[in-house]
Amino acid sequence: MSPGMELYDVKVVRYFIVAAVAWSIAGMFIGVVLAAQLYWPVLNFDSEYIQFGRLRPLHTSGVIYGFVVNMLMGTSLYIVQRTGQTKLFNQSLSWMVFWGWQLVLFLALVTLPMGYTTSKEYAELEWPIDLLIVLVWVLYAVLFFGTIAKRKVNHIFVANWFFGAFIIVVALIFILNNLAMPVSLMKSYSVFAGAQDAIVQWWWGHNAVGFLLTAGIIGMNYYFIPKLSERPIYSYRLSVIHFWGLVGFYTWAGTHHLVYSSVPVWVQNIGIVMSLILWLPSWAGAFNSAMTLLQNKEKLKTDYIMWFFMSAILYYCLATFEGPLLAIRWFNMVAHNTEWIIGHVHSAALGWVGMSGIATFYYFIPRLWGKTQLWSNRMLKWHFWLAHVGVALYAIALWVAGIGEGYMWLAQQENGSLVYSFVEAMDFKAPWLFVRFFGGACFVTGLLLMAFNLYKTVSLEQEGVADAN
Amino acid sequence: MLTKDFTHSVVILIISTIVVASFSVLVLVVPNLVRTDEIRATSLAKPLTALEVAGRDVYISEGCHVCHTQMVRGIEPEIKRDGRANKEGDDIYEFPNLWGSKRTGPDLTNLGRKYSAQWQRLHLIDPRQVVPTSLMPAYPWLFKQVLSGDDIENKMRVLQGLGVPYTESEIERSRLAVKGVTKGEALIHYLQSLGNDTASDQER
Repeated sequence: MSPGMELYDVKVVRYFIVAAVAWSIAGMFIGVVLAAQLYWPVLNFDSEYIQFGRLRPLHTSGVIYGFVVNMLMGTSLYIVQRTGQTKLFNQSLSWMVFWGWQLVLFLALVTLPMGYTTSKEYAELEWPIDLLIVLVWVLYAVLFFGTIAKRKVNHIFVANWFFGAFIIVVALIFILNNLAMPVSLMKSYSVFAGAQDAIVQWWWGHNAVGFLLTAGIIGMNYYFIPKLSERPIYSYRLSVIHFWGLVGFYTWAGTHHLVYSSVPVWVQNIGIVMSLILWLPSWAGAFNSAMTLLQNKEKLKTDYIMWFFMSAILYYCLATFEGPLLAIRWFNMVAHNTEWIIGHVHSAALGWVGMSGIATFYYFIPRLWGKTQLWSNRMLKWHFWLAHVGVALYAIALWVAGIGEGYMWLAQQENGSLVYSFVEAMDFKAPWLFVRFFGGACFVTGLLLMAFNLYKTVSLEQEGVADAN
Repeated sequence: MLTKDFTHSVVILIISTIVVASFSVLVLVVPNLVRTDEIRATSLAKPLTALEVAGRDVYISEGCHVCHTQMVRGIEPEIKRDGRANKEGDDIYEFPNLWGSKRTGPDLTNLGRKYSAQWQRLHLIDPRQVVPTSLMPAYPWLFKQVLSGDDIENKMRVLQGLGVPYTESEIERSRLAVKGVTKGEALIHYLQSLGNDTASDQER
């Protein structure tokens, strides 16, 4: 263990990070299986448990709750200690949060393939598991805010605002969206119906993206990007604008998922307008992070971890531009329900969240185990290119597939009759779904290289001591 | 306190985040949650029968909503393809909504009576037998697993509590209607019911 580390509780942080790496591979591997099933339906194996409809929520839950939440819990509990120069508020509480969360994930792994689902997107788990999630989340909030409260420095560091908002808002939206009447131990009905339920569902769905996959990751990056680039955050004022911009506008944007649906038009329009406004704070924040990296051009020339962060920021820019674009009625008419949306989500999930996570793992894991350098920089380089080829193929394939099928669904002859059947649109996109599968497979292969490289790094004896600050 | 802000006080950080993030709930979520009576007043929807409820739960459990939407948007070519566009009152008994977010397979809002029950059965057992390039998984086991009907009375009661107007006799007879039916048959009953209640409404 490197000097300074003994002043903090790092063991639980290591457990979280190892769990995050494991779930990133498992969750994304399931994603590749799903992509393959969409090209070779025989891969559903006529099996009740792994057919697409049941496997898909396991992919999204595995990535969101396994990879991302484990990573955010681990890094937030580390960052809140370092930036407050204090140990965790309570050590046993931290282990309850860790094992409690792993129990949630284990239950998801068992119950989703068995067909226990509420059907609500990104909130499929049934009510007893929801109660467990709420319990663990409250303990996590007590642990995190309790640690901020006992900090030894006056100022609350930027990263902790974002983690704080992530913890609070996810709790609010999760509880409202999951309100349900139990029928039996593993079956319940949402207390909301139809159009009302859809408004609640997308208010949750989009905020899960906004606060889990955006605010949480931003919090993590606001600590690790300055550390890695050895420069302070470019503009403190921009981080304040970024923070209140996200908290203030994000929760309004969810109804852009319901454009042209049967919910009231004014509700749809709020979602559209707020999505457009969100573009500004998003790019302001991206500019802030990019400038923090660019302050150290020397390191940027040689360090592929810096480049992983830079790519993550560029994909954040792409996704936060594409999001408002897709919210506009004219684009939404073509893109809604198509593969384009899946492509958009993955530009963000693989490009932004994935590459931020990868950069964090490469920077943080050696230091967490007291190592100075990676086992293989060449392998890091390979991973960099595999990841980029993977995301690019994925995004391009689904742009073509999505815009193509969206156009084909809407195309009319002059007399008003439809030009294409549904099956014709499906056949058109088939080769592009293969390209998507291939892109996803490249990305996961890169993750395997990373896991091997980091395993070697941590287990090898190395000279010198890491600078763990 | 007054000299501090969210960067120096954890209490201010928590409270100000909750307040700022909650505006949207008050403006666009809550006003819609209290409109239940107004939405119901315009509705043509009819409650599902016990067997259709059981079939709908098979639909949910297998994740059909992952690839099939039940939301026809009010756009001309979409109405041409998928039938009458959804209205707000159509889904008042849909706990939860099954609008979906991805159309890997076609929209099912108005599927009822489009195909025969026999076609549905063949298609569920082996989709590629009827649609050669279909991507849909095969669901042969649905026609081997038999429903016990043990939980259907509870389901009907919970739905009644949430506002579906089931009568006592409907609830009491529900178990007999469901017991011994395969999951596949129940699912087909549900699929054949889709859109029937609003089919008479020709106005867009």
